[in-house]
Amino acid sequence: MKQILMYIALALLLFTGSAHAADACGVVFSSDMLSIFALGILISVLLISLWYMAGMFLGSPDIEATMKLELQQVGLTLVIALIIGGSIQVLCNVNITPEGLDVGTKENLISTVDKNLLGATKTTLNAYLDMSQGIFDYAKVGSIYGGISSVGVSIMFAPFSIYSSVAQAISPVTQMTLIAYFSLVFQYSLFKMTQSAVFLYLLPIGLTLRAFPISRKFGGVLVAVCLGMSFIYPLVVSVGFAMLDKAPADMYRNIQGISPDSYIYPTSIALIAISVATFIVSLPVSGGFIAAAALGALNLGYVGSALGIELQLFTGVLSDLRSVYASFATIMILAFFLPILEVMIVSAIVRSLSAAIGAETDISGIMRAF
Amino acid sequence: MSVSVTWDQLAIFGVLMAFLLSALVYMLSHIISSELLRAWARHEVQSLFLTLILFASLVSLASLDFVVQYRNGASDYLKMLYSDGVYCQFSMLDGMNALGMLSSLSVNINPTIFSLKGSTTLAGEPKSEGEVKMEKYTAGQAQAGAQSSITAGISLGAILQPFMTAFSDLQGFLFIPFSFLQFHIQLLDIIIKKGATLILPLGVFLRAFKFTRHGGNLLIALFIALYFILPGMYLFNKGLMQEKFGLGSTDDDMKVCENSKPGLISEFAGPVMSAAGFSGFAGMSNGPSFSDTSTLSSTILSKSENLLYTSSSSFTVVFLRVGVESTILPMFAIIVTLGLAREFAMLLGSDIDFSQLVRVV
Repeated sequence: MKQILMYIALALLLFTGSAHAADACGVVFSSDMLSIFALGILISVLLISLWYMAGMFLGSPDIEATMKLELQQVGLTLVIALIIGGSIQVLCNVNITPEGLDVGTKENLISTVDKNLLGATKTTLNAYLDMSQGIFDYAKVGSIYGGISSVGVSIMFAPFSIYSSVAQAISPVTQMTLIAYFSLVFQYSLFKMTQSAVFLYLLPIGLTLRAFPISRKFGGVLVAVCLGMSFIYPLVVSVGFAMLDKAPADMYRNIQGISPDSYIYPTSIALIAISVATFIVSLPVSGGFIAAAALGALNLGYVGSALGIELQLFTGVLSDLRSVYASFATIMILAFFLPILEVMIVSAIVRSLSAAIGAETDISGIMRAF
Repeated sequence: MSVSVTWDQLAIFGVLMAFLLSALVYMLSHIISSELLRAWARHEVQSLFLTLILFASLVSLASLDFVVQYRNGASDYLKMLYSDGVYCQFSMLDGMNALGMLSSLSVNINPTIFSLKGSTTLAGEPKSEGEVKMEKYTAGQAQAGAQSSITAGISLGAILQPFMTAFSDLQGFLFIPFSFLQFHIQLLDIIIKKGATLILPLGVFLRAFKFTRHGGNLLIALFIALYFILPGMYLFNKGLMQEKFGLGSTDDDMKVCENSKPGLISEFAGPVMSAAGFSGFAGMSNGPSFSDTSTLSSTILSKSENLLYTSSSSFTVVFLRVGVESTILPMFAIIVTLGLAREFAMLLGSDIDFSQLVRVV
């Protein structure tokens, strides 16, 4: 029986070695990592054998039974390592689409997530810059003013001042978009960090620690966290992108702004014409230059508002506001809602995994940080 | 060679794999005589049967005509609400446009004009020596005036500034209801399109395995809550606004801002400007003409009341639409839904804390 167990252990060790020496999602587990794991397992088996021998010498059936259980645990660690090695290979060759999974495609899961996250980050930054440009354009038009000045009397008028308010309406969305951008940059950095070879060292180290009774629980947690962050998190992020059913580049609609040719120039000419016409007509009636000019300017205000609606305010501003709100809602889902949901799912899986492999760990602290 | 698997197939595949795994463990438990493993395998098989029943029930329920109409109705209501809400904002901008133009008017007088008084003569008329001296003197005075002049002015902005400030500040906050309403629309859209075809199958797949059961329970609970409860909450909001505040009995009637723009100009600015003495001009003034400016304050008060309470699209109605119906009620809906999702998750065996998600919403 012991010989069979030893043979099984040796075979599992070889299988594990062959699995881990392979390329996993673009990261090659180095021979150092494999050596650490193999050495850990061997030392653990050696210690168990010594302790078992001591139990035999002392004639203690308790020690013997305990050591048998420990040997089973070492075997279980090897099985876990084998399953993890195989699962990683499967996971890395999966491509997630809105329709389902493509297994065995050349499109690597990690590279797809990398591309999508980077695309979302760039689009959010472009959105911020476009909105800032929109604010500038609207505020610039809003600040336009003109007037009549003659023999010491001047009447000044800002016909497009409403656009300053439109800029004010877009401004807070722009600020929130910047926060969304930072949130996405954080996600991207976290993703890149978990894909680094240094972070992936935690996996064989965790497995090695799991082979020893003293560090079994911590080893299990380490394995679960590393697996969760490096492989399950990208998978869940990829599912998030599949849910959106929208390429990152399509999640933002640009602000059109106000066209000078179709709005500002004709409106300005019409306003000046109305103002001058009213001034000329009311000059003999009102009995004074100032009164006539005031009437002209006032009429300008009334009629100008109607012109503003007809020419651009309705279609242009309404369309831009709708674009801003719709785009920001998509950004909000992508940068805030889905990441939290994804972290919740990953933390739930990590918790179950760590409970199964080593000891249950509550990573609510990390959740709060997110 | 690649193999494509749909999400439904993945769910079935996951359950079958889990059955096989349980069978393997059960066999192993007999070989190594482990009662613990045997109990584990039995428990897993029970759990898998429950998962299958859950999957079949939820898929059947989701495809019922009643449920389809119900969630489509909720989606249409949200889209109508958003569309009308943006019209409300636009109507405010429309009103602000006129007020802004009027308040931007300013008249300035430079007293230096008086130094030019009497200096103009008709062209070709002969000038006396005194007149030529006077002209030179006046030109010198004008030059001095141009270098240092005193200007006085008056602007309509003083009258309209309080309204402009209020509206202007409001614009800064309006992104909250409309962005969040769009968020709700897109979230519901995702749930309708991907709920039964992606989220539920993925949840079932994850629930099939012991290691990922918590995550699976979370997804299934979210699916139940967002697919069945959330649309119901939106329709509840709609009924509430229709019954309690009388915002129309049909969807078309409910478009308060699209059907009847807030009467900032016709019901407030026009009469107030007329009362201020600017009456009888061409343009949009529909209000009464007052020759006595002492009635200005009473006009402002009466027209303010009309604008705030009584008109068909008064500020009260606009606030109900934008502030209550587009902001508070959807937020209430999502909080209730996520609260119930947490209960469902606990019922399924998960103890995930949803509070983080609620905070984000």
